[in-house]
Formats: sequence, structure tokens, C-alpha cells
Amino acid sequence: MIKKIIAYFNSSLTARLTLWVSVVVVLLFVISITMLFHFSHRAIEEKAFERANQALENTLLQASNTISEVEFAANNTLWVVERNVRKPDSMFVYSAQILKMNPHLYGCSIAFEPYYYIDRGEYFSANSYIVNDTVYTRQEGSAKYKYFHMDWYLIPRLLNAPYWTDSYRDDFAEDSTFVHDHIISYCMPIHNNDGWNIGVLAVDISLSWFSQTVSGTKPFPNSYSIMLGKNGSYLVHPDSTKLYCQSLLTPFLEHPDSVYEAMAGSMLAGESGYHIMRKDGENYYVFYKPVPKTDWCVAIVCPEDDIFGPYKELQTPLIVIVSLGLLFLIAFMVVVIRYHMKPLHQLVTSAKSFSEGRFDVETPDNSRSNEIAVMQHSFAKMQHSLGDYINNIQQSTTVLQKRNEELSRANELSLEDNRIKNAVITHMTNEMNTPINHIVDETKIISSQFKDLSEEEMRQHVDCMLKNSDEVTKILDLILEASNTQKNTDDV
Amino acid sequence: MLLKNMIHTLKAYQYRGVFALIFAMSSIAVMGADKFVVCMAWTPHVDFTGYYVAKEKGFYKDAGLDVQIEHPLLTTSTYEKVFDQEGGCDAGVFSLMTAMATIADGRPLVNVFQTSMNSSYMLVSSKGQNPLTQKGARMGVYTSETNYLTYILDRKYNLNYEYVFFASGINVFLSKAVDVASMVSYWEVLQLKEAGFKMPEHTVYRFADNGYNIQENGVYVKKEYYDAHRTQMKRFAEASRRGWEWTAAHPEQALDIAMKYLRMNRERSNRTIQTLMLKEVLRLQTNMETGKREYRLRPDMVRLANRLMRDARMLNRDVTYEELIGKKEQVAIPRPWLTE
Repeated sequence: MIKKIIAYFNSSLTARLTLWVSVVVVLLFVISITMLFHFSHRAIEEKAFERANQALENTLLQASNTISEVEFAANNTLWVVERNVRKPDSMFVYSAQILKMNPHLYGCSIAFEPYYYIDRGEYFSANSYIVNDTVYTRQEGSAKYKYFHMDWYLIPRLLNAPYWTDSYRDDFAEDSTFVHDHIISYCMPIHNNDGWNIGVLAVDISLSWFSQTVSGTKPFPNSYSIMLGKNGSYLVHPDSTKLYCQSLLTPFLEHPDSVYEAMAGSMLAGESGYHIMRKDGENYYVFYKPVPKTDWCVAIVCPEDDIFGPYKELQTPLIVIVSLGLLFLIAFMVVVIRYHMKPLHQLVTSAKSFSEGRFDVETPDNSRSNEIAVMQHSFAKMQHSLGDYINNIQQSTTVLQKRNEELSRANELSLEDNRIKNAVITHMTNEMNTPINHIVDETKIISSQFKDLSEEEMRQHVDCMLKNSDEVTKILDLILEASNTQKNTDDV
Repeated sequence: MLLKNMIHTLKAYQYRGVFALIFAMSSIAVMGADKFVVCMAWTPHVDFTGYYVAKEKGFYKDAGLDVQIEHPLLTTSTYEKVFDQEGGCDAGVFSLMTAMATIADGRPLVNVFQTSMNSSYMLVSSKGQNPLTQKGARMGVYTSETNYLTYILDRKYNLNYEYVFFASGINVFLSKAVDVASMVSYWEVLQLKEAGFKMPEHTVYRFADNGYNIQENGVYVKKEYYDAHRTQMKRFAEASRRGWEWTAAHPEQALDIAMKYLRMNRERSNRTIQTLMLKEVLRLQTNMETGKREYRLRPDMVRLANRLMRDARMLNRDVTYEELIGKKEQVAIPRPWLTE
């Protein structure tokens, strides 16, 4: 089958021309369309990146504003606390006041080292929290709640620096007043006048409130914001069931994914950038940045379909249109090439017929004025000329043939004549031979014996010689006569 | 019509009577069951799945036991729940070394059921170093139970760690507030992986791989309680074993039960990490030499624990295997450092 196709292409200039032109045109189209797609993809990508980064900045700003508000409130309270450490009961007032002045706060603890206030025992932590717009205050430390082992107290003390905790549940399981939410806390070490760390002030915000506040910005319809704690757990996520209890890497614990791990590693290391990740069969662009003053990372997750949705929607119809266009173009080229090659085909047909000796086959007329038409006209002329010439030649040939035949006949006659002549001459010669020989003999006798010969003998010999010479003369006359007759015939 | 009503009423009373009888019998059954309050080693997690399963599947009930499962708070310990007056627990889940130290302290305990067959403890460095080279480093240890192996190692190699007691999680470690932390392979290590923390081999010290493979969690009751409830303790052990064997055979369904307990106690976690945790817990329950879950104390490990603790002067006398399983009277000798 392939051989047939190859043979067809080898034998048909139209097919080869169509094929090569089609290949070049398709190639040019494909290159052009590919470049168009590539550059438009890039342009869209850049635009999307710009938009996503803008949304990321907005989210970061939102988070930073919230963080700053909390830090500001905490700093103000810390200033007051550090100047009134000798008044332990004041701590309850301060912890309540900060919540009254900042309704977004969830709770506040002003906690001291064990036995700092000796008369208050091992535990002293003035804690306030809000429930249904009411501020409750109490002393939270006890044998059941050794606050100095909790992250919010321990870490800033050990680091001797302010610290934003990752999310945790402040465990008051024995306290059935209300169900505590997961919280994040800004914790600051409390110092006395000598600069010694004597306790911690912690201000809490609700994780769910924080997540809602920060995750408002959406650059694309299905995109969403996330925020990761230092331990990778979600501080912000549109799916509240993932808050606190899941991390970015949770889905890949059982089936590691090096690409995903690289992205997560970069995010948790406090770097900025973006990655493309694949999840549930879809691609997502993840743009991320670290949150200042914390170990957190904020990210915007944008489904690829959102970014390139319109572009992709355009892709299929465009490809269909281009494909149809190319097919139409190829078909049109085939028609045009065939139209223009038709005279050539006709020429080929004519030439073929001509070569087969059919000089009467007419070359169709071509009213066009292009090179092929000119060639066609010229060929037609040539064909006519050749035809005439060949006719002439044929006629000449016929005549020549005739003449040849005649000449051949004449030749044959001539040969026959010659043969006859030769035969006659031979015969005559033979005929003449005898009398000549007699003559020669008589002559020899006479010449050798003339003295001895009598007159009568001499006469006999001469008569014999005369007789033989008469025969020779007769033969010669016959030859002469025959020659004259032949000459007269030739003249005729 | 009246007759019909009478029949209808009689039938209703008949059904009610039957229901009342069934209810009464159930109550009697419950009232007749031996109540037994056991405190787990920590807050609700899948390392106690077998017990949750035994309760939910009715294995304890079948054994005639009304078992109540409790958990300590983040900053309290099982020890307090068992020994404090307000504790209210008959039994607690302790590690072998904690039990031995408690016994030697004059508070006799008996092991009624053993799950762990291997040590899960590890030391992990937050500074990318070998923990044994970090002399004087801040060592994070949990408040829930004394970490004897770490102390033993510290004394052996004069590491002079500065101990920092924390309640839970890995934040103290990730924030680098501590230089090294003591962790278990079935929980904190998984959390570190979830947080994307890289743990090159040289930054991890596994006790089990370094001659310190000592069993951990088992259920212990006070000796006097054991003496008064031997039969019940045997039934408890059998039902608990049933619970754990069912867990090993049906890990997904067992995980469903465990996750329910987490939710009930407002513990938020994800199924992926709990699945991995359960897998590791079940692995640690296997005797590495026999490849089987044996649910028993190993005398050789008890001897090893004795030697290590006595060398570190944490015990003044040997706590024998027979004592631990209640076959011998226990003698109290205080821990050396309490008298120093």
C-alpha cells in the first residue's frame, strides 16, 4: 500500500507539488499558531501572576494588619504590666481591659513564674476570655493546668523574645463553661526592673476568626488563601475542618511527592515564590510569601483552570478552526494546482500520443497566457509542424520506397542484363574462342610453315582463317547489335 | 368496640411489661458488671485504639466489666490520676520504667496487660547535630511521664542536658527553643515529617538501636487492687488483648473508632497521620525476635531496665519480674536522689 502511494507520488507532479506546498503551509501555520499560543500563554500567565501576587500582597497586608493590631494591644498592656508587677491583683484588670478595648481578641493571660507571688502559691496567671461579648476573668493556673509547660508560656521565655505560636487548643477540659476554640497567641516575656524574665503576657485570637479575616481576598473565582504555621499546619484555609489538624504535607505522608515536598520546604523555610502542584488530577498555581515577624507563610492557591480557563476554552475552537482552515487551504491548493497543471497533463497526454505515433491527436487549446499555455501553444505548433513534416517525410518515404522498389527492380533487371550480358559475352567469347584459336593456329602454321606450304594449302589455311574470322565477325556483329538494342532500350 | 379497646390496651401493657423486664435485666447486668476506671497514658490518640475497640465492640462487657476510659490533661499525668485522691482511676497506662520506679518508691503496682514490646523513644536534634555531642544543650522532655532513658544516657555520657518540660507538640522543638527533644517514633516524629522537618540520620538517636530497647506502655493497677480483683484483671487483660488483636486485623474500622474518641474529646487530628501512627504502634507491639504480638512483659527487658536504672542510680534495688506481674511482694526503697 505504501509502495503504491510512494509510486503515485513519484509519478505525479501535481501530487508532489500539492504535498510539498501543503507540508510547508501546515508547518508555517503550526509554527505560527504555536508561537501565538506560547506568547499569549505567557502574557496570560504574567497577568495572572500579577493578579495573584497582588492578591497575595493584599492577604499579607490583611494578616499583617491583624498581627500588628494584636501586637500593638499586647505591647501597650505589657508596658503597663511591667510597671505594676508589684500589684498582682491588677493583672486581672489588665487582662480584662485589653479584651474590652479590643473586641477581636479571644483571650489574654498574664502569667508568672511559679511562686513569683509567694503568697499566691505556685500558679499565678490572670486570664480573661470573651464569651458572647462578655468578658470573664479568673486565675487559670492549677495542678490541672500547669501553664508554664504550655507553648505560649515556655517558648517566649526560652527565646526571651516575643513569639507567635502556631495554633493550639487551650485545654480546659475540666472547665465546662464553654468549648474553647483553637487559638493562636502572641506571647511576650515580662521583665522586671532588673531585666529578669518573670513571666509571659499572651494575647489570643481565635483561629477560625483569623482564618475568615485573612482569607477574604480572591484573585480568581475558585482561588483561595492559606496560611501555614511553622509546623506546617493550616492557620488559614477555606475548609475549616483542615485548620490546625492538617498540614500542607499531610496528603503526601503516605505517598511522598518530591515536587510537592520541595514546594512545602520552600514555603516553610520562609521563602517567596511560586510552584505548580498537582492535586486530584488538577494543576494549581501556589504563590507564597513569608509573613513578617512570624514563622508563618501565606499563600494564594489558584486553579490553573481559573487562570487559563478562557484561554483553554479558546484553544479548542481555535484549533478546530485552524485545522478546518488548513484542510480548506489544502483542498483549495489541490484544486488550483490541478487547474494550472491541467494543460501540462494535456501536454503529457498529447506528447504520449505523439510518441506513440498518433500525430493526429489534437492538443487542446488553452486560452490562458501563462508559461504553460505558451508551452502548450508552442507544443501544438510543434505538433502541427512535426505532423506536417512527418507527413512529408512519410510521403517522401513512400515515394522513395516506390523508387527504391523501381530501382530495385531496375537493379535486378540490370543485374539480369549483366548476367545475360556476361553470359552472352561468355558464350560469345567461348564462341569466338574456337574460331580465334583456329585463326591463331592457322596463323602459327602459316608463320611457321609458309615456306613449305603450297598455295593450295596456303589458301586452305587462309580460307580457314577467313572462315573463322567471319564467325568472329558475326559474333562481334551480334554483340554490337545487342549492345545497340540495349542502348536504345536504356534511352527509352 | 369496647372489647377491641380492652384487647388493645392489654397488648400495650404486655409490650411495656416486656420492655421493662428487658431494661431491668440490662440494668442488673450493668450493675452487676465490675466497674473499672483506667487512665490512658496521654490525651486521646490511636496508641490506645485497642482499648477503645474493646469498649466499643463490647469485649469488656462480654468479660463482665464496665470499663471507663479516661485520659490525663495536657499538663497532668496518669500517675496523678491513679495515685492522687481526686484521681479516681483504678489503673493507668505507664511505661515499664515508670512502673519500676514507682514500685521502688513504695507504691506497688502490678502489670495486668502489656502492649508495647519495644522502645519507641528517640532523641532528635533541632540544630542538625548528633544529640550525643550536644553537651549542655536544652533538652525538651514531656511532662506526662519521666523520660528515664534520656536521663540514663545523660548520666552515662555526662551530657549535662538542661531539661525543659513541655506539655505537647513539636512547636518548642521547631521554634528552636530547645536544642534536642525526646520523642516517640509513633507521634512526634510523624508530626515532624508532617511539618517538613528533615531528620538526617546523624541527628537522630534511637534508643532501641543502641542497646536500650525496653518495653514501654502497659496497664498497671495498685497491688492491693490487684490482689482484690485478680479474676477481673485477668478478664480485663483478655478483653484488651481481644481489642488489640481486632485492631490489628481491622485497622481501618479500628481507626474509625479511635477517631470517634478523638472527636469526643475535642482532639483535632487528621486520619492520615493517625493511620501512620497506628501502623507504628502495631509494629512496636511486635516482638522483633519472634515477629509476634505477645502482650507480655519480657523478663530480659525487666532485667535490662533494672541494670540501667540502678547504674544511673534511679533505683536502689532490683524490681523483679515477679513483682511486676504480682507474684511477689514488693518492697519499697526510695529513689536515691530523693535522699541526697
